Amino acid sequence: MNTNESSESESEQRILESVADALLVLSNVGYGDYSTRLDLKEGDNSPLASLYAGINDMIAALGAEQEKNQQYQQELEGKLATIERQRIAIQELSTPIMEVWDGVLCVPVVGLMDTARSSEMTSALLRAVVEKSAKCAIIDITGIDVMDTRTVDHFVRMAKAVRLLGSECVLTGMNPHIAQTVVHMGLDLSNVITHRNLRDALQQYVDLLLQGSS
Amino acid sequence: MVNYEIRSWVDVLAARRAIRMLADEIGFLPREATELAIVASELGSNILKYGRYGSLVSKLVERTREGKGIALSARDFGPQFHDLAMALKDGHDDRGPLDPMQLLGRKGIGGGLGAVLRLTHNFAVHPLADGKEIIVERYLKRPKQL
Repeated sequence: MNTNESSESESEQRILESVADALLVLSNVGYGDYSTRLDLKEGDNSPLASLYAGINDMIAALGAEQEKNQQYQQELEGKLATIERQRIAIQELSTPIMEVWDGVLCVPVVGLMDTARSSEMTSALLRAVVEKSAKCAIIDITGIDVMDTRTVDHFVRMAKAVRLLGSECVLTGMNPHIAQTVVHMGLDLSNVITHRNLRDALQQYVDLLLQGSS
Repeated sequence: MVNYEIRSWVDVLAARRAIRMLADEIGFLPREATELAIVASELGSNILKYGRYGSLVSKLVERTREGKGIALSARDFGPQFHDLAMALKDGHDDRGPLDPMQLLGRKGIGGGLGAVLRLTHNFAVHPLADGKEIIVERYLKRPKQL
């Protein structure tokens, strides 16, 4: 009787210990540690052992999923950062050409003007002038404080090319520093119309077009 | 300090923005900071156009006469200049004048290096075994040509 009772209480003790072990490991998993596993004794076919095996499999699966999840998260963050950099790039590089009135194109230029951008702008503007059969292209450079002499020269050439296509090219918002560059270089501005600001130029050309149509 | 790998346009933009901020911090006028950004932009786009890939690195420099300044190193892994004097001329690349008919299709007007030269105080090209390095310096005192 006695030995029976003692062995029963012993096995109960073992089960309790095993459950405590399992809870400990599960709480680790709860805190995000997927590396711990429950000890399995080889050849142990008790129900407890199969429970242990099941728990271990579950932890392994959870860990793998978690890792994948983290990878996705990292990829997503990387992509978001790339998109943000590209958004800034588009903002800095693009020069929108708007048809603000029938036959009046407006090109507001802001940011940094280097040689690559000025050449891109030229081709885009000349294309737009032909496509929209524009009567006038207003280039507003209020947002540009510095241009290299060569770029200024390219601007004047662009204006002349627009003129060759049969439309007027108007430069507005030129700042004093760039004006000085133009004069220093001795550039011929006779084909280029300039206005103090975009508003003046717009008003004049829209008025002109309205008169022409009435 | 600015140190950027240049492999795409996005890198050039990031580098030139950083250079501009650095120039602001050191005490360059806003317009001069923009000029330095143009220099960085031209050097950076040249790396992409001719040198395939490389890096833009800045360094602070100080001289007794000119005061503080920024040195900019543009390192690339491309071919050497065929003719440096030619490349510096406006409307030219390193082999001669650019055909005006082809200028529109290109991503430039052959004026990038000329602009770099005009907007900086010192300009030097160092050939390397696997590429080249262009080092320019710009001091708080303005270049004479401007």
